[in-house]
Amino acid sequence: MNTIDVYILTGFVGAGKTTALNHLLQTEPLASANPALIINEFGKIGVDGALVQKQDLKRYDINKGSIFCICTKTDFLKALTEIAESKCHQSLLIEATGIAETVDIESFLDAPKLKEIYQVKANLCLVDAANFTRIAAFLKPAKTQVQYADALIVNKCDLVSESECYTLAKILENLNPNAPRTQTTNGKIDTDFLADIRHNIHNDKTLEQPPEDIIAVSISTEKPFNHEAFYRTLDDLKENLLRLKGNVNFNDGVKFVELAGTTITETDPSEELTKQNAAPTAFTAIAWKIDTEALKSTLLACSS
Amino acid sequence: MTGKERVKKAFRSEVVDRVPWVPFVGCHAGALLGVSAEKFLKSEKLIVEGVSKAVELYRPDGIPVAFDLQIEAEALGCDLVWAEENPPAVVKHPLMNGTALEDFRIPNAEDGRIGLVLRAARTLRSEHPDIALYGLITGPFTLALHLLGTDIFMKMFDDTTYVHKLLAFCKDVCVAMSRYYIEAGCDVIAMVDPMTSQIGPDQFTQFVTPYVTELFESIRTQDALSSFFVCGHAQQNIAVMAECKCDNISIDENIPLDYVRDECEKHGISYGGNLQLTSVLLLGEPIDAQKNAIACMETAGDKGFILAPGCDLPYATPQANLTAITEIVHDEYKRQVAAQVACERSDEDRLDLEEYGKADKVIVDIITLDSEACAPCQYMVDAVKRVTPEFQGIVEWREHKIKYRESLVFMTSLMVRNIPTICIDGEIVFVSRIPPKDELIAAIQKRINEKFRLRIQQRKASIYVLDSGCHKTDAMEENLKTAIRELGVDINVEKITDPEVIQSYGIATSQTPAIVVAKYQVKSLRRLPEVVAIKEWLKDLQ
Repeated sequence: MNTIDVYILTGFVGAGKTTALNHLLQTEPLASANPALIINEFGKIGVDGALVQKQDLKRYDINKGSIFCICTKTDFLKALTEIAESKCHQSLLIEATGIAETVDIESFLDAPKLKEIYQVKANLCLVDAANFTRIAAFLKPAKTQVQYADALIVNKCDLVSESECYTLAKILENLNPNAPRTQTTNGKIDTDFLADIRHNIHNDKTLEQPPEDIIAVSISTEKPFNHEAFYRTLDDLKENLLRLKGNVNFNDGVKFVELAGTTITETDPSEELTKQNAAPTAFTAIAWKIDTEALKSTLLACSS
Repeated sequence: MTGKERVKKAFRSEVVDRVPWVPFVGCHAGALLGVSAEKFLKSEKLIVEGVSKAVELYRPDGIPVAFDLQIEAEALGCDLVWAEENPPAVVKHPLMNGTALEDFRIPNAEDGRIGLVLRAARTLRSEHPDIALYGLITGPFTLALHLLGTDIFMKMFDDTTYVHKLLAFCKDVCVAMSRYYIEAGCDVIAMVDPMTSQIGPDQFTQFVTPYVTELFESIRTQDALSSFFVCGHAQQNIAVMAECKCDNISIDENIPLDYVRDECEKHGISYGGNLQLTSVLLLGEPIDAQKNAIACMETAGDKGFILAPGCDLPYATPQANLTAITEIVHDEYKRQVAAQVACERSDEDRLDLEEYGKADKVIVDIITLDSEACAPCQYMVDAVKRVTPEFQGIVEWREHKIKYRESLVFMTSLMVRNIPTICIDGEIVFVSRIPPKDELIAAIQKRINEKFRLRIQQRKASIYVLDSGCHKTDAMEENLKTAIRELGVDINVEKITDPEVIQSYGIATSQTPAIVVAKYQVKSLRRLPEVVAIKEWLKDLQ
């Protein structure tokens, strides 16, 4: 029986999936394996499609806005069955929406009758260096896509500082220590890197403990913050804090504070933002290796 | 008790006479009418006809008016792409395309398709007064994603205030929509918010809890019931969902039902679900649907539970799979049968009955629930009992009552799926139908003839000439060969001279020359026969 090799691309919007997809379609082993394409993007019918260069490809759009993962399953199974029955593809590339669970997609391929035909070769996750920590605290699949990937491609490293890049590497290492990582600035994936990828690599080493969660807390309070104590706390939390953004009501006036990586900026808040906030202090912090309650109480300890 | 009363009681976690059944018929009703999802969801007349058709076919206790989470989004200016067999998809998010949040107004009862759906709800209300009507509204978080797209996940950090404003607006839309539906006669407001499965409990508490709690409170003050529908991997949020003061939580197959049961019971609310949409209802057989329903019912017990699919039924769901569930919901006896079959757990429990039916006698097996307790079973057993004497001992019959485990294993091994069933030599012959005497006799006779033919084909024999040096032996051998040649049969003649072997046949050398005939019959090839099958062969040898 002819089998079809499957490549899965995951990653949040903006991580460079479409560029990577176009690149993959033009390189071996996909270029000569008459790939079929399944595109499952949230509310984007036709948009990514226009960017996909090879127009003669057989394409299946799975949409429904991805609202019901289970209904998506029906459409996925339908597309997979059609591709298998057409008998003219030796490969399949799936571009998954940033809000899809990788395990779901792999379970679709594992359905009876389909599992003999489809073989996942690689499940690649594109990580947007500029935005990963921002998304991961809020969107569950952003983390699970990394966790279940066979390889991680970190894109847009040129847009962040070296220290941010270093922290991101540590986070990704913690989420998925088995997956090889590569950096790219344009979504292009090195062929040698691709050739070495093995599927299900995340099973290689069992983690001794679950990966550290990336959490977000929102602080909103009337109490003023001690300016000095606040910055001391930020420094104490430097191993934990990934981002922080919002208005802080210091005893000497309200400031807009933004922390990204190791850079902290403090400016006068926009009137708009101050007007909208119910309390003079309203900011959100994203951190890891610390739990929500501990982070909240440590930050609030600088207010009185 | 009417369906409406049953659903209401279950929502209040009171004991009901049987489980309430609420098939979430959405665009599937279009399939029932033979029209596309688009045509269906755009027509008041077709919605009324389709839902009424579903009521007639599936005899539900409750049913949604329209299962389409894009109705509000469309009224607010989201572009939709329509499909033949799916609800439409939102393809353009207005807040990403120049519309400001301040530009939105709460849709009125006539905007977009809201008017036609509400009119359909009114008609359905008057046509089906005894059924619980579900008005479906898009939950605030999902509606926010329709309006803003996945940028919402960025904005949760970048602009928390904006996200809260957006969600507060979406909640206002929910409150208005629920009021429209309640005024149109709906009993239950199902707030469907599948996108919440994408976030964790911390974010849920921050961005969802305050809005939906207010919504459920407003539904309660209008004397209607509320259900929180979620689908996908949302297990992490069930506990915080239950704290939002909804009356019911409805989930799909991604979350174990017992987990939801325990969480909901802790909070004193009811729950529903979680029939498997694709693998069972769409792609499975009626028996799979029944098994799945029974598993749900057994997990749930007798109160506070609504039997329902995990989500909107796929357009092409076979009617038979849903009517199979309707049958066991309404018919205690059919439920028992299906429940017994559902006990079948794994393939290891199956007997290998390939060899069954190779004995000399013809065996008639009747698979029953219990002929003393089940009238059709009794008639079937009687029918067999009456005809077997006519075969003068060649035919043997047995009843297998599937209330006993070994009978159940036997039944599943023979791939029997209906009760009662007659098998002849392990082959299913009459299913759920008592055969007239002549027909039953003919079926058994057919098998006897078949066996006879097979026996002639399969049997091989040897003739042993036991010889201790007597002069008659040569002539005897010659006669045998002549007979074999003239008959044209394929029988081997062997001369045995070893005195020990001769004695092993129980023949003394003084009794030679002697002839022993041995017939061989192939009973089993390349497999391990089960003890039940071997016993049948051994009986033939005695």
